[in-house]
Amino acid sequence: MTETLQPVLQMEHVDLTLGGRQVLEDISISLMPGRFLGLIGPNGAGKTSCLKVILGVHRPTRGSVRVLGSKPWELGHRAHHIGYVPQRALAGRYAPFSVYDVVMMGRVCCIGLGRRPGAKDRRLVEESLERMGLSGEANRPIGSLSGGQVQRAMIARAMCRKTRLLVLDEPTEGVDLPHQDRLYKLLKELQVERGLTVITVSHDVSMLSGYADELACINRTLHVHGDPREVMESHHLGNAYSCEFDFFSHHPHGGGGHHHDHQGEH
Amino acid sequence: MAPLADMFQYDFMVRAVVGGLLVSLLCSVLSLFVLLKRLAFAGVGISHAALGGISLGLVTGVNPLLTALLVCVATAFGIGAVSRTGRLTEDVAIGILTTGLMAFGVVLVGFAGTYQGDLFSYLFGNILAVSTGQLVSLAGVAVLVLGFIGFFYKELLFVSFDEEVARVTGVPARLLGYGLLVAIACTVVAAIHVVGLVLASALLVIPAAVGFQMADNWRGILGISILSGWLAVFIGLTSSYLWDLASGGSIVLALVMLFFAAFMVRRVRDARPA
Repeated sequence: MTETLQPVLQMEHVDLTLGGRQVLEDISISLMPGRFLGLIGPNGAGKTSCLKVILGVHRPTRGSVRVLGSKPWELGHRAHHIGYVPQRALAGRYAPFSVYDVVMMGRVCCIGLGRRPGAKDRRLVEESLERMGLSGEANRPIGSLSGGQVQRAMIARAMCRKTRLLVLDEPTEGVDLPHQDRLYKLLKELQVERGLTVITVSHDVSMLSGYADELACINRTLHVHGDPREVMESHHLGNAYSCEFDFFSHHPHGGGGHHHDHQGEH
Repeated sequence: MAPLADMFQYDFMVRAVVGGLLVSLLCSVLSLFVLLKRLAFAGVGISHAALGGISLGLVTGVNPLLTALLVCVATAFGIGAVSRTGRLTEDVAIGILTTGLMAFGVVLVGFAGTYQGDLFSYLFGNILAVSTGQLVSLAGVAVLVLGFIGFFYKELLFVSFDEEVARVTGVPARLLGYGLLVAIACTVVAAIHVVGLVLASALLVIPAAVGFQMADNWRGILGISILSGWLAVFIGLTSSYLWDLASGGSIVLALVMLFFAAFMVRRVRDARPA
């Protein structure tokens, strides 16, 4: 049980320079298990780069990152505890794979080299598809699904193993509004059901704030990190977006009415 | 059918058919990953770079296929390394390395004019002259490449579909990427026997392209790719025997015709109301 006391993510004074340009500066974020973190910020603020540091795709030029207690690029086989849903996972790509094939890819890291998927793998894939409401679509080509269905298939792929940390990059991009809400609800349910830690990048501040436990606003540096309501009321948010921020939070379980964020004149 | 039966009375034709089917199997399986990973240009590049290796072998007296293999593998690593720097895309890396090695080959050939007859058979293939020893070498390459693909098929499919996610979840995507390029290099050298280095890349691209027209799932594409490769070898060698055509060119032309037939079938099928 001591494991639960350790943060799932610990970033300390992280700088990242890509192609000679400083993308991140002095980012420090700590996230405890079972929490839902929303990473927000304007376009080009470094949100995706921050995710890629967490995932070990980019190594920080300064500072330290620990994910599940290790440097992300040294996780070895424990990397399968991380589920990743990339931005526009299927954008512009023809892929000759069924939905079932794609979700089975999530088991590849667990099956082992040179082995074929067994009964356990098939069962877990079927369960994951069912949980995401995609059982009926299993044999359809992945490219024939709607934007929301593709994202659910990608989440099913990320969740068909003992995933402890789910990382999503703009999961609602290309998804229509009712399905965006459904997607966030699904993430919230998974977080609660499985004690999952969720980190998601989004520029849809209002909707994300209704589901996240914490918001961190990045624009190269970390402007503010904390409870969503406090973050939304903080003047740091306006600084990060370089605008006035007039915000009405979205409450998924009633009480919030309409969700709407209004950015003042630049 | 009598001329076809006659064809198999000759040992050299039997060896040609066996060698052709073997190389075609190898290329057709690999071509699925070549298309999925968008490595068609890498296949063209590596096969053309083989000219540098062939010329080096002819001039130095070392087995030209061995020097071609070394140059192709080095080119494969070069393409992987240069494109990984992020400053150059893979197509630019291929363009530079390939033309450089071809130019090297052309310069070497200029020094060794007497070898140009040998060079011709490497450029355009001479499957009718395949020896039993060469068949054994081809079988060795096939075991290695097909073994690699069979062992890592699910990882290769994952990397082909979504390299970054595969890497993040612990799949050795970079190693597999290099492995695939080396497999292409080995296959190109094997295909030099059949169609020559000028046309080798056709065997690495067209079979799966036929499959992509006919099937929507990778399993179907793989099956059709293998069948179309074998059919092209059979048609090519038969027409070569019957009408005295160049065997390599006939095989590639048969593949191209199969592709256009599949393309038309797909167009008709897609045009039909659901």
